[in-house]
Amino acid sequence: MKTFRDPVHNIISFDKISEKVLLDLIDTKEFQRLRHIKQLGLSSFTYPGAEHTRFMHSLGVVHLTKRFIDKICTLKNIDLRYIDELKENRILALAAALLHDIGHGPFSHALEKTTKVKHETWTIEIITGDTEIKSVLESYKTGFSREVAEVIHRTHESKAIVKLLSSQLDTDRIDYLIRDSKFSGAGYGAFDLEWLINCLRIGEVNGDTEFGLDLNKGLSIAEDFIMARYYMYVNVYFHRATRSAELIIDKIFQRAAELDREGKVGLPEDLSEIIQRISVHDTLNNYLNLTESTILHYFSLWTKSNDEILTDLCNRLLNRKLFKEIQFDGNLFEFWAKAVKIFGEKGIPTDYYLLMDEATSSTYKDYYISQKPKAEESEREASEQIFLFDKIGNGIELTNKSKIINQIRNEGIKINRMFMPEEYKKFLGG
Amino acid sequence: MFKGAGYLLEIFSKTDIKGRKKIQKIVFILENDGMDAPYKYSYHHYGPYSAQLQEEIDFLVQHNLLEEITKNGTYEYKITDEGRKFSKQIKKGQEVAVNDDLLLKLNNESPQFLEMLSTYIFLLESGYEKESARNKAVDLKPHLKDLIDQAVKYYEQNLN
Repeated sequence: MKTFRDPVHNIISFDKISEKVLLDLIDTKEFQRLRHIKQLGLSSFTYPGAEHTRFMHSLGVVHLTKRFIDKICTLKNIDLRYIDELKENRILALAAALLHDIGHGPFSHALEKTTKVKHETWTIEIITGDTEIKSVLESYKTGFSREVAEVIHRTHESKAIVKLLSSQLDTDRIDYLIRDSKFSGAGYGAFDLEWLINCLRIGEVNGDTEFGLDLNKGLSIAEDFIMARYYMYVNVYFHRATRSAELIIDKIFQRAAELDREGKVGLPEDLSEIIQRISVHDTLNNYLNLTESTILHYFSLWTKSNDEILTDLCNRLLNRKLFKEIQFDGNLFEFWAKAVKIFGEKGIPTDYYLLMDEATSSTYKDYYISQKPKAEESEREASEQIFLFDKIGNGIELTNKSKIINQIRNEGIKINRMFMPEEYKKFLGG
Repeated sequence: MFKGAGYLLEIFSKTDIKGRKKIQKIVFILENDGMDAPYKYSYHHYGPYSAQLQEEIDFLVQHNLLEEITKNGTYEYKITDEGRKFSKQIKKGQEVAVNDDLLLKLNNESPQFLEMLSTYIFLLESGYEKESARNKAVDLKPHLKDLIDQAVKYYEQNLN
């Protein structure tokens, strides 16, 4: 056995023979790169302990996926086809769990806006393109790289494997909640993982395979799990200082790219190649070369640039002189229009100094708690649902059983915030 | 700022759209055609779906920029006067380019056809070659297999 010690799960082990392919994947240069990508990006500006990496998280997701599969395979009174499906696809599920975040880059969200390439696209390219990872996967089984990509892209025929990694009760989300809570020091995200696994069930709802929890034993842990998500989103992922820093990074990239086009500032060479050559296939190695250290090095250089805005934004970020939220009463759009007008009169570039924290702009999402369930819906779409299964396997959505969760879902999380430098708030009466 | 809102309001200023599935697929296809909206899609029951896009629509409804009407379980969206006003405001600060011809053409198609077309495009984006994407789309949507030839032809004629 090969063993990793982990602060969340303690011992994460891999069988050197039956799970050799996973160990080989961990040893690839593309996977090792995840040691240099932080799981929570800029959250350490707010929670100094949140320095953990996507490398650790990926190992955690594999570990949990194994535990989920093992638990389901020991359940009695379930349809044997689920057990067959999970056993047959075990290594596929574990490889997909290990590689699900492989396409993330440094400051992923800001980078995506600049390059116009989504990290999911890089994920597929890393798994199916000319990489060490593809070579390991294809050595294991011909066509395996495409299968792993299909699981991550949710198009694989085994719905059980897809849902293990991507659903409202998936191993990715469970690991990152517990891990982010532990490393940030914000205890809100902790919940009883052992009991959750103990209550795990599988069944069919509206023709789809779904993982869920036991109706009799699992209601409390289901509520606890959603409350943990709710508190983590409000207090950690959407923390105003973290969001302010993330928005400033967006603007640094935007400004630097603008100046690069005018030949006034040089972007990191690898980033420049990606923007100019467009093709993901041709620039994969450039992307793999980018780490947070590379980017931060450039931010540091740009504090001495000739461009006032770029210099200012980089200084603000590196010295944590972040933009502040301005409180306002009344209509968001009217206030925004007023702010644009006043900033215009003062000669302040609104595009860089008046930032909206919009619903679509955050990397971290939890639609189960941020979107109201629709009362009437004939078009069954993305399943923002968590199921509790009774003894005969009928699935009931959690909100039908839990008043607390029903209330949270109907309230939702709506955060509309506006940020600006502290010294400009006075122009708007802030 | 308000990039996604800008695109959605521009779309709804050109036409009303009936059905959440139809909106999802139309915006996905327009993005594939080059519209610079910020939504992320993953594969769901009806093909590519963006919860982010639905959240933005809810946000616009909540702020009275879009009107949401429910008829027989189908959601219909229309731009409001407030929405038109705000759309103009956004366009003062940023370019909001939507392929109107394609938008109107797509809106004339059935939700089922758009489901098949968007699934085919999603698979191409996922790295499948054309023939494999075609076969995989039929595997994923056997009940819509009669639409695949039409979807591939539509893609070749209008989107490739």
